[in-house]
Amino acid sequence: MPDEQGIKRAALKTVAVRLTGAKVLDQEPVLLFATRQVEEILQDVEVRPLPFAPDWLLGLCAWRRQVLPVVDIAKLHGMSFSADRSLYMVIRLVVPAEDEKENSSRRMLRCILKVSDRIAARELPKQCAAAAIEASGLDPALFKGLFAHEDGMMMVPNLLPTLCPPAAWPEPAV
Amino acid sequence: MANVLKRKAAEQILSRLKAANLKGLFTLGRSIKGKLLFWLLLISLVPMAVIALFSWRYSASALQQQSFENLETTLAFQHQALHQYFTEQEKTLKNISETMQLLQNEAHIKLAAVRDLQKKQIIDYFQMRYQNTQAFANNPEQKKMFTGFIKDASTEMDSAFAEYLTNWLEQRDFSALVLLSPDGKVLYSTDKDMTRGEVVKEKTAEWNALQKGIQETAFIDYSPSSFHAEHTDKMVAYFSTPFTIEGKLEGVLLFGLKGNALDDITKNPPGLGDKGESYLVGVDGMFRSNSAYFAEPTLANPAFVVDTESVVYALSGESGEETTNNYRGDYVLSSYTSVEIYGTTWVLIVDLDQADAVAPKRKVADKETDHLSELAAHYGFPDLYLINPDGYIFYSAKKQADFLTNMLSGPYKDTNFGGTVAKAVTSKEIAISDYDFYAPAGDKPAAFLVAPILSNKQEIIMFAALQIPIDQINAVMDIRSRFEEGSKHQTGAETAIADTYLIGSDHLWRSESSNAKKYGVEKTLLNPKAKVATEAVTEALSGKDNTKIIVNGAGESVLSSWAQFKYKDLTWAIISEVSEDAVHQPVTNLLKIIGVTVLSAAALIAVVSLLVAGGVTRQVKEIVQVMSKVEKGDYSMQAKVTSKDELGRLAGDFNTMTGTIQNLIQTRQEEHDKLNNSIIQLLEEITQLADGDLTIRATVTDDVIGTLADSLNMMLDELGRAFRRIKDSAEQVGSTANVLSSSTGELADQNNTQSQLLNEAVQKISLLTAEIRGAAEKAGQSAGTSKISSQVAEDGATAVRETSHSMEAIRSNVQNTARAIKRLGESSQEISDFARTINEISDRTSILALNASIQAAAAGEEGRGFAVVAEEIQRLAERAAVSTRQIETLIRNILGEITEAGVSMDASIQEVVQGTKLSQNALAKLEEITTRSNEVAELIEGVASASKEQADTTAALASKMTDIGRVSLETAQETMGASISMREMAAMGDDMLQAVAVFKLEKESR
Repeated sequence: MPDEQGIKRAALKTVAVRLTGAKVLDQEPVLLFATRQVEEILQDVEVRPLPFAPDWLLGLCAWRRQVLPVVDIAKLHGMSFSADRSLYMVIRLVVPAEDEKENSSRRMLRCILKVSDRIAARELPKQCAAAAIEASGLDPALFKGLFAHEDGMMMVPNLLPTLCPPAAWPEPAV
Repeated sequence: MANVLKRKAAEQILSRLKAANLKGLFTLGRSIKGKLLFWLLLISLVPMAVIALFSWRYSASALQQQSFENLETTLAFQHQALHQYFTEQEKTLKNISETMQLLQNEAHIKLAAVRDLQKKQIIDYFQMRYQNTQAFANNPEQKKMFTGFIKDASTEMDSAFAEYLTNWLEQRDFSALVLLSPDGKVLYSTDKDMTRGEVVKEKTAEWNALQKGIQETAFIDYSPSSFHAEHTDKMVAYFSTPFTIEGKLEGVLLFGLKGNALDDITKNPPGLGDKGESYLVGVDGMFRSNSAYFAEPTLANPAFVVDTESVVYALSGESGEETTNNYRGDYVLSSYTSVEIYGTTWVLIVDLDQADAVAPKRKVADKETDHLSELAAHYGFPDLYLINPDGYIFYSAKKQADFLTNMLSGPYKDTNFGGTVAKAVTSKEIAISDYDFYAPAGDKPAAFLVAPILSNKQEIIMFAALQIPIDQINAVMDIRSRFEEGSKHQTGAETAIADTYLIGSDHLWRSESSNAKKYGVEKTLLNPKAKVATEAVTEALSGKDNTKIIVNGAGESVLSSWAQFKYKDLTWAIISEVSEDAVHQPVTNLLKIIGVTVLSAAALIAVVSLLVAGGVTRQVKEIVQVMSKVEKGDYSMQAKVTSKDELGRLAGDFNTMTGTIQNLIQTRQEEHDKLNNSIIQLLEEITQLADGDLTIRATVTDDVIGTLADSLNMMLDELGRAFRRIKDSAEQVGSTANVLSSSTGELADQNNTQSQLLNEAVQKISLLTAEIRGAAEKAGQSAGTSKISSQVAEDGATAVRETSHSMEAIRSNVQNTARAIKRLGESSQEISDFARTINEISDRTSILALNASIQAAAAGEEGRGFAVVAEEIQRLAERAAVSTRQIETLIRNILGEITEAGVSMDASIQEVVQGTKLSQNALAKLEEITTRSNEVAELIEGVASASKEQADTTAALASKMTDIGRVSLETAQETMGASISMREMAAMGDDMLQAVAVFKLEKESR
């Protein structure tokens, strides 16, 4: 349960990334991230490709003395977008503890998403209707929810299964 | 002399008269009497005729105008009157309707009162019977009398008690008394049809009575009886009550109700008139009372079933009043209610004939009448009707064939009356029919006005209808005519009487013409033979009104005024017309009076002028007779003096004048004769003079002729001498002239020849001169043309030189422009580079701003201010990006255009260089042309001046030779003239000699 302050903050702003040209349930998909999830937006990054990596994993990149994976979010969901140029968004994720009561065992993950240049900070879209993920042909595990809105299909991605498959990531060295 | 003058004057006048072609008109003017008669008649009759003409014209037009106005007034009046008539009829009908409504309402109230009274009477009656029954059963004496029957079936009734019993039953309207055992066996009965020991059948009246009577006193409604085998359909009703002895039920007593028990109550209901009745009906629809309208008893008679609406309503527990058909099918006002009689429901209905209700009959002087008939008679309606809502005529004042028929479904439904009733039924408003032949009214034309009568609930309860009398409409149409007749008697003025009539939309009459024979029929109303289809009818029916002269239906020329008359659905044409002849009658009379006056005046004037002229003309006639003699030269006649006036004096003076003239004539004759003789003598003496004998001499006498003879003698002397001299001279001239004539003739011939030769020479020289001159002129023209071409070539060279200079300037300008364009291109390239830089900056700014705004949002409330700034920066960056993108596009376009301009500039420079070269070549050629032209011009000029000099010299030579020719010709002519003169002179001398030779001259003069 997020605290009251968190709700307020979440209600204030989201960062929306419009995947121009793609279609989900006949609407243009808009990826929604909580503002507190977004660390920074980068114009260009130096990506080091990884051998034998899936096509959506573009490679690794150095950011603020950290090595972060660079993920093509459109490819990850089997889509493609048309844009003048691509931007890169540094996203932070909180990996929940296995035992939910123990908050101390939570850990922070970061990754860089390759997105379109149609990024905007905006209010949480109101008056949207929940849409069935199954009907969209997307992997339900990769989304927290789909919401039909007049501005487009609002999609809240769930990056955890991609970046942190259970037991795939070794425990960080403390 | 005087005669001649007179004749001439008379002829002159006559010729003028002929010229004016007035001879015929003025034949009377040959005598004074005639003239007097003619002019007096003319002077007196022409003004009269003029006055007559003008008065006829003015009065005719004024009369026509007045007639038009009268007609329009008449039409308006009639229209108004007719409308008022219909409105009054409608009002009357409405009044009748209101009265009918009131009467019907009252009838309903009355009926309700009667019904309630009857109900109470019936309930009271049955209550009494109920009490009678109970009292009888509880009477110990009577119980004792019946005990024996219970114990022994063969017990005989005590005769005294039987008598008492019969009376008791009779008095209480019971038909029979029956004692039944509890198992339904007849123990005793007053009815002979019932035998003791018989058992009642199930479901019969007796069985019902037994079932109910075992428990308590009850009333059993009419139902089939067990004991009337021969009349199985006989129905009976009973009061039944338990029969107990010492508290033990021993049987049931049945009291049969008499068939006519209720007749006293129902048969004569108070205040319902002849046709009013009240009756009772059971739930089975059969009567529970006897109808006064049937001899046969209707009570419980299955042959008479009442299934009217009233029964249904009453059985459902309602009470009320309505207008409906009763069991006989008559239209009645009905009041109904249900009556509860000890568990049995009956219906009480009180009916009142509708006609009786609203038009109750009464007797006046042994004659039956009602107020509606009186109303119809009072207003003059041929008939007055009351019709119920479904079209049935239940009242008619005249009771003709249509009475008691249905206007919506009966035999007369297709008549105009039927149609109007249907219309009123549909519209619930007053409806009017047009006139049509109506069979019930004796096939006479009839029109109807139908008004609905509404109840307080605004439902139609009936219709009131009236037949509109045609004589009243005729009377309305006649009002104005009579009014005008009256005014004519009062004022004595001649006013033509207007006819006003009505024509329906079928062009047939809707009023009776006062003069139907005019249309060739006896009656005009709805007569197809008198169909009127004039302009007036057509226009009026289409809603137009007008007044003008037209030809009416009877073919007369009339002044007509028309308008449309519309009343509800009725559309008629109302036409007022007056015969044109009638309008013009006063004018015709006026013309007659004027004619008679003119003729009288003419006769009077003729008599007076004859009398006056008679006195004057007798004296004039005398003078004229004498004058006609004088005219023939007879001056011996004297005119008779018949009057002493101016004409008498004229006759006297005329006589004196003729005497004086006669004396004068005689003196003149004598003098004339004397002179005549002297002349004859002189003439005889000088006769030989005519033959040219100048030697003879006249005798000189002492009178005027003597002087003449003396002068003649002197003249002859002188003439003789002169002739002698002439003769001599002529002879000399003749000889000289002949000699001269021959010599001059020769000279003249020579001169002529010379002149001809000269002329030929001069002509040839002239031709030569003309040719030389022509050559000189042509040379001159060539020189001018050469000069002009030289000048043109020079101008051309100058122009080409200027063009060449301009080309040089253009080349320099174009080169400068090309350089500028190249510089512009370079600058644009630089701008493009700057724009690209700005674009990059704005991109970076945008992302920075986005990051800032995300950070600010993450910071929450504290970052809000910063978020606003970040957003603003982002917006600015976006705008900058858009602008630089636009700039880049623009620069790209400019660069493209600059490149194009550079290319075209290079081409221009090449073209300019080529042009300059060409113009320089052209200049060189043009300069050469100028030089050659100048040389040619100079050569030609020399030739021209030489030719001119030659021509001048030749011309001078020709002129001189012409002069010589002319002189020698003149000489020849003069010589010839002299020769002719000589010849003429010689001829003259011969002539003269011949002339003088005629005269005989004295010899000594030679």
